[in-house]
Amino acid sequence: MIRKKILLLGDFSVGKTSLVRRYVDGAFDDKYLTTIGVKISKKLFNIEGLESEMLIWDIEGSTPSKKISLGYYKGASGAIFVADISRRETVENIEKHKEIFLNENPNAKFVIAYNKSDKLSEIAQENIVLGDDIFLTSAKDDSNVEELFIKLMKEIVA
Amino acid sequence: MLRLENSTTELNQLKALLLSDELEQLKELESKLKSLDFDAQDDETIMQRVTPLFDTILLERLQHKDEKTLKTLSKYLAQIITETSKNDVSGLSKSLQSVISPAISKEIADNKDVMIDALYPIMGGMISKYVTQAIKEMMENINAKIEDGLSFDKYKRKLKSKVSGVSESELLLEESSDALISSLFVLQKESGLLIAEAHLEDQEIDDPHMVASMASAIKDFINDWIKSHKTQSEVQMLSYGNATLYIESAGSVYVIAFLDAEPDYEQRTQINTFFASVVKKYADFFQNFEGDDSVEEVQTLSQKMSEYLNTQKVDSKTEKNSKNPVKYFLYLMAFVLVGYLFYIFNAWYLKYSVERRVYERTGQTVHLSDKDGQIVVDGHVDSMQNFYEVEKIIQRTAPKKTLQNNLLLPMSNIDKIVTEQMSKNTSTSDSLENKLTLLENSFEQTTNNLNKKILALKTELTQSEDHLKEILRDTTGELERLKKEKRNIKKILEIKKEINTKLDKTFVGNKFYNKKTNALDFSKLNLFPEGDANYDAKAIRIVSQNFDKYMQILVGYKAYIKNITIEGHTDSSGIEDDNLLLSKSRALVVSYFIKRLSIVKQYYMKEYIQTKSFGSKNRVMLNGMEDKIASRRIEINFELEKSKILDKLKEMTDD
Repeated sequence: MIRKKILLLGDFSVGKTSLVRRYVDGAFDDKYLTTIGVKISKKLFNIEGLESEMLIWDIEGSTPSKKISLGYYKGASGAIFVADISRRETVENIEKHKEIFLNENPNAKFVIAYNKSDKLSEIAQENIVLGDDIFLTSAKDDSNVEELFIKLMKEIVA
Repeated sequence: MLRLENSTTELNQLKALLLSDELEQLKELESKLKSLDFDAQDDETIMQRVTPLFDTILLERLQHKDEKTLKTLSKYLAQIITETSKNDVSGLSKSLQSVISPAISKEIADNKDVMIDALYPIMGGMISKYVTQAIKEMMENINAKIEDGLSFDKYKRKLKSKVSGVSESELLLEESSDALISSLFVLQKESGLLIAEAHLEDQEIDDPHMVASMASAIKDFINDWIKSHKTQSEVQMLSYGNATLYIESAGSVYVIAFLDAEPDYEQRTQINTFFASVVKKYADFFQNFEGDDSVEEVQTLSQKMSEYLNTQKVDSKTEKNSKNPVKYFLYLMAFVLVGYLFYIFNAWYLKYSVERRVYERTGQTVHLSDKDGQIVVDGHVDSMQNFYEVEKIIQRTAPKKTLQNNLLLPMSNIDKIVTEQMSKNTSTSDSLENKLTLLENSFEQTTNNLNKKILALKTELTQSEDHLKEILRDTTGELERLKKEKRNIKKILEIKKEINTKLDKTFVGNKFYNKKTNALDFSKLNLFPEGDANYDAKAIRIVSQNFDKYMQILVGYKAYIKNITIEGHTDSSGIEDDNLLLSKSRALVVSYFIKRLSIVKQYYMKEYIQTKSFGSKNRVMLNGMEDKIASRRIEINFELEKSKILDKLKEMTDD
């Protein structure tokens, strides 16, 4: 079986932990996130007959007073950048997170999740410009979460 | 009056009923008071007589927990105890012990947690003090042992202490027992991915990959903290309770050992030696590891680590045994004794069995003895046959021993022996001749067999050669077919290239022609208003002019054309289902219009024209924003039919 390290990155309270909580097959307790700034979960995939496993490093959002260890970023094959679609600054900050991540892992793949889509009206959702690697997700409604992860894993194992 | 008298009587009766006890006490006091006769006595006598009375009253009030009495006494209790402790400490202790001990026992039983919290700071310190004292005493004992001991180990330990800089006491403590490694992990340093793992039996852990990642994260976290405190070292040991993680960083991996206690210096050295051997052997593999644990290296590495863990168990057993020298010495002595007894018995049995067998076979009595490792045989035999028979029996029974034959034979038998020997030599010569003849025959037969085999091989070789020729013929045929196919593909590509070149030339500088896709792209035309499939009249004329030019080229290749597609697109406004319908309408409207053009009719191209709708799927983006006007568009392109081209080519070849 092939295993890959995946990072979950984004500002505070954008819903990173909620995004994976309902989706993964096994996880450490949330207390690790507040203690050492990372929580590890796993998810099994079977993509076109190929068994693979994602080890998801849910990394706590950094603040000026609390910097996150760059060691956590190393050796990752991919990342999911998460923003709260109802908070503009979290969407803008995705570029900063991408820059740090790609600086450590130039060849890694990534997808973007505009999370908390349940907070937007249908019309507002339709006006958001999405791409192949950008998903409108909602952990609350379980919307597009699986698609997000599968897209990333396919990109990595391709 | 009478009434008054009656009422007094009733009152007395009532008093007798309600205050019977008090009246009795009153009477008792009256009698005591009368007997006191205070006027006639001095103060001391009066006090001696009155005091027991007060004592009785006080005791009674205390027993009934009279509030007033208790309140009054509590004011003076502390003072009384202080005073008493000055004068009679042992008496006070004795008195208080009977009260305090049950009270404490009851309080502990009722409020265990509160008592523990209260006592912990005192007890903790006390225990710590006693433990420290105990360790100190133990170290003193160990030091004494070191001084007294005369064993080889003592000098070995002394030398080791000098070299390593660790005190002899600590080394002696370390020698007491090794921590048991229950699991080994090899992790990729950067990603924290688990490369290989091994566990002792029944010590497997759930989800080792997640545990490994978490261990890596914790190590990163601590290392960061260490670095932030401007220290260059890395964390190497993590302990929690009895569990210890010993982490060794080597090249691109971390090797982690899970132990049941902290490893000592010697054990750390042993673990590091093993880690070094692993890293040396698998260094290249570790560097190129990409998360696939099904590869052979992972299996062999896991096996190697398992073997190491199991060896550790065996070592620990061996070590325990080796630490009991008396036991070891006794085992050695027993072994030597058993060996000696076996040797004696074996020698006796050999002598006895040979003598018995000789007697049974020859009827002669001989005597066997052992001299300087040789078997010496003494005695008499009556014939040369028996002489050799005895030798044979001895050599068969003890083939590795040298024999010294001292048997005596009567002289009259010597001539007979010589004659026997001569006849033996003659028969040997005859037998050799026979053997030579047999060998000659055998050689001839082998040669014949070999010739037959060579012939069979030659036949097989010829057959193989034929088969190879056949394969070569087939391959050549296949090669020819492939070459032909390649030529065909090349021709198809050439036709496509030819059409594209002509289109490029015709539409040079035309903004409605996309040179990359060789399609007509009307994204810059504003053909349709938003949300509508009604085209602009001026714009549709431009479409027809360009389509006419486009068709002028394509009709020249009609034989190879599969279809001409009108693609309808919308912008991303609104609901996608509606957009799909809208794009379909747009494509159909344009298709309807262009099918009426004369060039389509003239060359019978109507059935080649088809429509496709995409909704907003392929909307036009400009600097990250959608260009909605450009998105509402029509694109026209064409597709070649490969089979048609090939058919045409076939026709040409046949011709």
